[in-house]
Amino acid sequence: MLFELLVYPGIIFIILTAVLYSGIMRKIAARMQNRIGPPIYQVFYDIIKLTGKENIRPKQAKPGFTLFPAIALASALIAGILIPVYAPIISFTGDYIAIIYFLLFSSVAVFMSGYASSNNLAVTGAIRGIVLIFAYELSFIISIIVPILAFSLTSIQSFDTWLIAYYPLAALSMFIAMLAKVEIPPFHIPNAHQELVGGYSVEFTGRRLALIELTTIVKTFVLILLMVTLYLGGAQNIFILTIKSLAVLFALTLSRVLFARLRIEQALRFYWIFALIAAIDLIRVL
Amino acid sequence: MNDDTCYTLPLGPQHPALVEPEYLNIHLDGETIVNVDINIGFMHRGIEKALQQRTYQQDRFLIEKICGICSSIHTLTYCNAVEKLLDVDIPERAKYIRMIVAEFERLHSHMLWVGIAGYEIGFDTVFQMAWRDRELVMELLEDLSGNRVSYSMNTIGGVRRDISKDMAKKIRTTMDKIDSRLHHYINVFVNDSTITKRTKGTGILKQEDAKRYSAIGPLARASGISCDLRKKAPYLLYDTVDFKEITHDTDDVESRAIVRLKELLESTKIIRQCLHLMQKGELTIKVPETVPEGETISRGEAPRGEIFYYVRSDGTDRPYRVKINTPTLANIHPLQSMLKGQQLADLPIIVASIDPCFSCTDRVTLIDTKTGISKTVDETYLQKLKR
Amino acid sequence: MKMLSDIIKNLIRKPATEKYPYTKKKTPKGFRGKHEYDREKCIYCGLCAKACPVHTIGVIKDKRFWQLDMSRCIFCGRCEDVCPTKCLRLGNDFEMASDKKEDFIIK
Repeated sequence: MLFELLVYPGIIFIILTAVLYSGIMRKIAARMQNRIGPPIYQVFYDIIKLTGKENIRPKQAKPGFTLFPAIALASALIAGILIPVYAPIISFTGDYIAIIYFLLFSSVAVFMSGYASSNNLAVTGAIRGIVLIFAYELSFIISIIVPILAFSLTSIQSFDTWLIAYYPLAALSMFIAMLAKVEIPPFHIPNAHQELVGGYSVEFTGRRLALIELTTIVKTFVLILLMVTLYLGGAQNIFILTIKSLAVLFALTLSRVLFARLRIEQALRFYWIFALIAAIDLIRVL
Repeated sequence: MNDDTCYTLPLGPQHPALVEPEYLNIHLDGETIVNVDINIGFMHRGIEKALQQRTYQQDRFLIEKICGICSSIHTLTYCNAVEKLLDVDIPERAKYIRMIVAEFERLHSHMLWVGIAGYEIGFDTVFQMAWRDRELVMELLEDLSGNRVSYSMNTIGGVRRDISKDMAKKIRTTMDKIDSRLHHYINVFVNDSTITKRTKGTGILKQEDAKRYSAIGPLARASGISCDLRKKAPYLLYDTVDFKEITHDTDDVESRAIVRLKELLESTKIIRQCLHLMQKGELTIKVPETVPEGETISRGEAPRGEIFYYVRSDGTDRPYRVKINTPTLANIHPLQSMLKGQQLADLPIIVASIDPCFSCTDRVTLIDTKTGISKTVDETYLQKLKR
Repeated sequence: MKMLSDIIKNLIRKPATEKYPYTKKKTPKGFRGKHEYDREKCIYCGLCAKACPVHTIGVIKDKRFWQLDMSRCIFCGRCEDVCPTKCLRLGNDFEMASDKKEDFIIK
């Protein structure tokens, strides 16, 4: 139990694989753009290097500047533990609500840390992020509720059936919500570095920045796991898990290189219209 | 302006959206831009002064350092001016080679712009691809002139290097490649859904506004004003080649992209014709070191717009005064009207849509810090500084 | 989605970039790189020093002294153009970084 929780398929497994997947994503994106790209283990280097860097706390920083990045990573990891990849590690009634909550809280904590840094650019980024949450959260919730309702479950489980075939709209809605949750183009609006110089993370250095970067990386992997568990027929062993999760990662990478960034109000319109379409699947389930 | 509802966001002097140091202070209400203060002058290098201290031939190399992208058109216009003072006519082959290099420059400058535009709207693939294809032109330029950035091709009285037969063949095949890529990019900019969402209807500059702010170059042509100097006041042998002036009248960022890309198709056409029309002959004629007394102006169509040179000679081997006017200085003012009422997210692409080159733009004003009175430097003061 | 064709082609294609310090691009024939100076042929006429726009070449005819400071050079190639004996030319080497000042001086 403790081994499963902490090592495999728990916290350490999630962090290490997430970082590796982030490296793979960068490599594939580079090849898609006809570049060589960084080595796959580059993200490990980056994180290790960041932990050794100076930890600067700006004078105007509000309380929570240090706390929120840590909370963000912790929430993302808890959400990861709650996902039953092979079999549930921890399971309780209504744990899918906990997953929704922790993933949301992880995003909110990141934006709150940006807000706490009291920099105009960071605050603008944080506000954009919060607005974006209002946009995508509806389609994300629909995509989680659909399988739960379809099997009338009380807690989340791994499904052997390929639900994507039965509820394609809900699956698509999860994928699209995923893009905004981990800020992959066309929805990398909160950290748009062309106008906001990196958005919410602008004041962060050293270990705090490492935590924020790690949060996004871990969240990506956790969401990929969720997608595999809920819609892609689950994973029976590590081999199947790798293939299915890499397929999702490839789709994410494709979106990363294929689109320009939308404006915030365009993203908002897109998500609300899309949530309406995805609701068709919800009605079908009911 | 009300301070309660507005806040300001600095764009620059150091900012990832602008490669060069320039400071735009943006007043925002929410995400809407209320007003923009444009502060230039972070890159002032005193080049006009330095030009007076070198000989005419040496000045060429300083002038091509004014701008890394349009280094050829600067020297071309300068050499045209000095040749006008000397009253010499350079060989025909040299004129064609000058035109070819100038069009190469337009090619790589606009390709660079396409990449930048992709980057500013968060589309990294367009950025990478456009810059990869730009490399084709850069390699040609390196082969031709021996350097990727400062070509030093133009000299007073001609050009320094010849285009050999093999080189001409290579240029022809590369132009075909570039043409097919350009058609692809036009398709991307017109039809890609995320790109048109960002570019259509943003950064509108109405024709009368463009006239009022005296915008030039592709920016004005995208607002439907025909102002291509190659047509309006042909220099070199631009009147012997056949090409169209591109104008587009949707006034927005997309229109500017289309104007630039279609202009490149004309550029490749010009290059092919030049290679065809070029006859064997001399590259340079001998010119004296000293330039007779007199003054003249010369104009040229740089990738970003019109370039203007005023050269005055006092009969020695050094110019008495060289005045340079660059396109971005004219195009930076319309930014004010283009940015007002736009979204913050569109700021980088609108600023980039004028294709700013700030190092050419920067001017200096002396401000007495004690009294706050600003004054411009006059001619007698400048001459006092001259050694 | 118009870039999709490019992206699919790129996945198959060799990367356009290269790992610079390990693989080096060959410079073309007329490249303006590090100077190659032939002391035997030089007649110390001083034309290069006069032509140089950045005044980086120093020549003293009587002492048979010729020196060029590469750190100030802008590689315009004017010295090459004016040299009557062609003892000075710009070569193909473009890697000139060094932490020692002496490395920049060509004698």
